[in-house]
Formats: sequence, C-alpha cells, structure tokens
Amino acid sequence: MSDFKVLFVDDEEELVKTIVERLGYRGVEAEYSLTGPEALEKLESSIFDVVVLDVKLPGMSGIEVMEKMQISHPQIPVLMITGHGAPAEEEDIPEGAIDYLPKPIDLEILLGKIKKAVEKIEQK
Amino acid sequence: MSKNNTSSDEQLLRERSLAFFGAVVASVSHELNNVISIVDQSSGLLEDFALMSERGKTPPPEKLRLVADRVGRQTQRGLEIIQRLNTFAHSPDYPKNECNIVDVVRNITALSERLADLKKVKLEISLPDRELQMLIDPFSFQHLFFSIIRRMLDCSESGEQISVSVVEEGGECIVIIESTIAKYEYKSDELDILLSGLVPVRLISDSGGGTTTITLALGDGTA
Repeated sequence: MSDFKVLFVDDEEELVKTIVERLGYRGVEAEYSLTGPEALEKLESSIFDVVVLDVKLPGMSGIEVMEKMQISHPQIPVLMITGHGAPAEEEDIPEGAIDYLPKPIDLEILLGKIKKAVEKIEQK
Repeated sequence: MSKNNTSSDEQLLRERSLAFFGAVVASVSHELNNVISIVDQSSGLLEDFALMSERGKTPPPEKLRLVADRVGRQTQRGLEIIQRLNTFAHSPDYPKNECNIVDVVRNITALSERLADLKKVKLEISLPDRELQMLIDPFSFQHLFFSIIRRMLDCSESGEQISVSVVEEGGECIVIIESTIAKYEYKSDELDILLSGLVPVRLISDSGGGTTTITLALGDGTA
C-alpha cells in the first residue's frame, strides 16, 4: 500500500466506492465521504495526505468544505472535481485547490495528480 | 395593461422561460454526467479484473455480479432521466394541450429533485392512481411549478421538507405544494406574469404556523 492516504468526497455513492476500490488495486489507500460534514469529521479523526473534492455536494458545497479546510487543515492539498469540462483559465480553479479534474474522471490522470500533490508536500 | 407593458412582460417572460429551460437542462445534464461517470468507472473496474485474471488472480464471481448490477441500475437511471428530459423538451410544442396533470407534476417534480438534493431538502410526492386530464399550457405550468419550488428552496434550510400532492375537488384539479418553510415570499414579477398568462390557474398562498402551502387550482379548462 502507498505511504499516503486519500480522502475522496462525492455524493454519488456508487461512483466513490468504485473509485476507492480501483485506487486500492493500484496500491493507493483511500477512503470516501458522501457529504462535506462527514468529510470534515473524517479529517479530524484520521490523517489524510490529499483530498479529492466534488464542487457540487448536497448541503455544504465543495467550496464551503475547502474554505473550512483552509482553516482546519491548510496543509492538505485539495483536488477539485468539476461537473463539466475544465475551468477556462488556471485562475478559474477554485481558490485553495491545487488542481481540478472534470467528470467523468480518468483514473490514471487522477492518480498522476494525486502523486504530484504528494510529491509537492514532500518537497516542502 | 398598456401595449408597452405587455410587450416588456412578453420579453421578460421569454427571457425567464429560456432561463427556466436552461436551469432544467443544466441540472439534468449534471445528473446524466454522474450516471456516465459510474458506468465509466465500472467499465474500468472490469478492465482491472481482466488484468488480474491475466496475471492468474481471478476476481470472485460476486464481485462481477456487483458490477453487472451496478451498470444495470445506472442504465435504468439514465434511461429514466432521458425519458423525463424528452417529455420536458417537447412540452412547448403545444401551447394549449390536453394533458394528464398527474404525469406533468410527476415529471417536473422529478426534474426538480437534484436542486432539492443539493439543498438537502426532502421533496416528497403523492399522486392519485388515475389520470386527471386538463386543457393547459404544459410548459408554462411547469415553469410556474418549478419557480415556486425554486423559491421555496431558496428560503429553505437543510433538513426541511416540501410535499407535492394532486387531488381532484369539485371538478377542479388541485396541486398542493406544502413545505416546512416558515417564511416564504412567493410573489415575484415572474410568477405574476406566468399566472396572468396561465388562465385557468389560480394560486392561493397560505403561510403560517411555521409552514407554507401553495395551492394551484386548475379549473375552467377541464377537457
């Protein structure tokens, strides 16, 4: 298993379960949360190295979760999942996120971005 | 109403109708994207299993069954979304049409579900088993219904509830939208214009006792 841990946050349960399972087959330790408050709770009780966060979450949005994380866990890099396409410019990536990924997610690209985020932390 | 007012009302209604159409399509396309994402990941998972088999590690049959069930469920979900979207897309074809109000309400409520989910508001529906045919402009009626639900959602907090029901009473078809929202201001220029063009729909609002109820009575146009 990897020496880093990923938290994947999306309200589509069948999607997150499948992605977490596939990441597991690639040696990446990952867990999921279906809501923002659930994710914030998990961040309090476990150590995660990267958070993958859907922009559109029921109740507390992905942006709100990230704003709270910037206060409680500013060291954890966040990859945002956008519903459609890519932000037009780099500056359109929600503030606080290090990168984005459009849905449907290409797992190999996701994996590459996760590893890049982990490398950045290690370099610090 | 002066001719100039009528013209600006028509312009406003056209703009709002287009915005309504766009809001529904955007919400539905987001939901369809989720369905495709799940099918896409399931296909990827099967590829992972195929690779494992090639390396001599056969996945247990129950895992394959789970993926097959998941794809079947999501295909059905996608088909239902497309069916709803198609019905909705054809609703402006006949501005005055004999419609089964039960089906129209079922469809537009389902199309509003994602917006309610995002607000964590429970959207419930209770419909009669039989058809209730009315002569009505289905697109404008859905626009009015959606506007009411959207305004209710704007005023609601997470955990609140909106219940939609349809009953027949004294020759009228009554659409009741009840909510646990205490303060709801339903009046808006958009709703006023929609209502003025939607004879025979009458709107009755009752806000009190910590709840809000909007009743749409569809009468004179009974087919």
